[in-house]
Amino acid sequence: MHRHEFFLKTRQFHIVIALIAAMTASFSALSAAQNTAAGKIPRTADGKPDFTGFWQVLTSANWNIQGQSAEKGIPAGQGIVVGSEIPYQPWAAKQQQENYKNRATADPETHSYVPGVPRINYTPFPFQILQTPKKLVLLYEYVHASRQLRLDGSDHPKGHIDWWLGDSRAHWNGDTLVVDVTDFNDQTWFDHEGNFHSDALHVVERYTLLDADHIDYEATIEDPKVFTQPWKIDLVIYRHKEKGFQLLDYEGYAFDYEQYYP
Amino acid sequence: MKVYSNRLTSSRLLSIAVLTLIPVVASAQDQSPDQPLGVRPKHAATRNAPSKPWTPVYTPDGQPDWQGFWRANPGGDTYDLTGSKPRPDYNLQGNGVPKPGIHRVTGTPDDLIPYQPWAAAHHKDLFDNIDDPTKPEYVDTQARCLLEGPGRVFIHSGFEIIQTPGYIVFLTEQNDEQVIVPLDGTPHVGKDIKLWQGDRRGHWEGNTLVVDVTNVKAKSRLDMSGDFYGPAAHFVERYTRVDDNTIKYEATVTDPETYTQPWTLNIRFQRAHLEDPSYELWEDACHEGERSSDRLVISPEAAKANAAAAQAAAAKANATTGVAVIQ
Repeated sequence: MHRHEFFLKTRQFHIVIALIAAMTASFSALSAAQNTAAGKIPRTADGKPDFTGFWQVLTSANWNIQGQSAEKGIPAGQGIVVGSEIPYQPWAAKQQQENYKNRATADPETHSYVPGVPRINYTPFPFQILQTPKKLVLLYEYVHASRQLRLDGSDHPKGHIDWWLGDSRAHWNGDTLVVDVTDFNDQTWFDHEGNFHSDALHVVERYTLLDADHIDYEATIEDPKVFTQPWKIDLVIYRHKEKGFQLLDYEGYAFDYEQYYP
Repeated sequence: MKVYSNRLTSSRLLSIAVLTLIPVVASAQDQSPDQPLGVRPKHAATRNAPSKPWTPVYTPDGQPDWQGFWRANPGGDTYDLTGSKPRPDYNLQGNGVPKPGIHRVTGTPDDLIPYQPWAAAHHKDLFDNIDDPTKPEYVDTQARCLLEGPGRVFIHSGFEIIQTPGYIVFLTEQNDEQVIVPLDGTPHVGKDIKLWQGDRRGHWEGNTLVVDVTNVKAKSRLDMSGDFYGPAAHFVERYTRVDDNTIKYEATVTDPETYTQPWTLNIRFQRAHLEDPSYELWEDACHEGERSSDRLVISPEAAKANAAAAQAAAAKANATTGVAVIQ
């Protein structure tokens, strides 16, 4: 018998196999995504994933969440809608087409209105996240909007309230921040294509750090007045790594008035 | 000595009503419990809570912990930073007794903003025309929901202070403004970048937060009555916790293109909503609801008609109160 054949039958071999199996099991038990070259996810003092920093998307979803070919001035983009179809009720599908025809003036973003949730997370502008144990504060460069995702166990206020950005109450599910957003008005669109909602909109956001520099952002959209069933979007939000990066400003509705002041 | 006429015109009433209506409407959350859903219960004012010494508490990164809700007291009113210009509508609010002006400016011979001649002329032009604005520039920036910017942002509205490692951030209730102060000592942004809130860098000196404000866009005005600064303005703000309920704010404002000398802006902040630990900062979508700021601009003919009506009303008023003169 050759030496290696003898080894295969020994107790040492079985121990080696057991060790390899154990190491493989423990390695895959860690989220593989969290142990990539970009590094382990940062955590707060109380062990929660830390979303502090500056973030921005690369997707063109702000123009069309279902993906599109290029148009003049607008890059082509793959969509963020999971399954690519938006389950409109028949009347709503017609309304979306009407919105599309009028989008140059009917898109609330053309008036620099606050773009609603989830669109505010995928405009082509950066935002800053500050995090405390009681809440995440999201500061958006676009028209100085802000949101507070409250982690203090509080409930939504007695509604219905017609807010542009809704009311956000959050909790942790493992390492995922789950945010329940209600109390919307019907004034915002999901993109420039005219995809829209009513004031019955309910959004559940899920923020998960894939690694130190990427957030997987998933949002479930539910609106019984407009859609036949809930649907989801999923996209990546990227961390700004430039030295000295900070928010500047974009006061969209002020540009035409600047000439008159101070 | 300057004299400002005390004319009471219908368009001035309208413009003042519009300008004051905005904070009133936005404060729907101050109404009593039997108001419609979505409005929070009334809370007692904490404006004149008795002062007690502050026992310092620190954030995990060693900042004095000032988190919570504050508001300028006196505050809310951004009509006149100098407290020198009579305000006719106070006669309406005060049952005929004019409220005294709030003097926030110090460090100059007459406690007024020390304009260079060109700037004084611009300020006078703005003030003379706020009653009957015949041009867009005569409409105050606040009426258009433009950002208030340094000097004004903390007078108009209550705000929440949030502190995280390396940052102190002020979020206002009105118009949802963000004043972000990095504490990391990094250089300001490049000089060609002009920002509505300016660019801030802060540091703590014991119990005082010192904030350097540069890179101002200077499209905000300082108040409704036409006080202003220019793009060369530099604010050095000092916020000092003087007792449990009070932060004293002093800002030295330097602008060699607009002023003849630096001057100091003084504001006092007091704790707000202490009796309601569940109080939250809620959304204020000012621009989204704004529909009328362009309509404040009236034709020259309408302005003439208003002026004639004002003459008649002033003649009647002069018989009793006379023309108001600043001290």
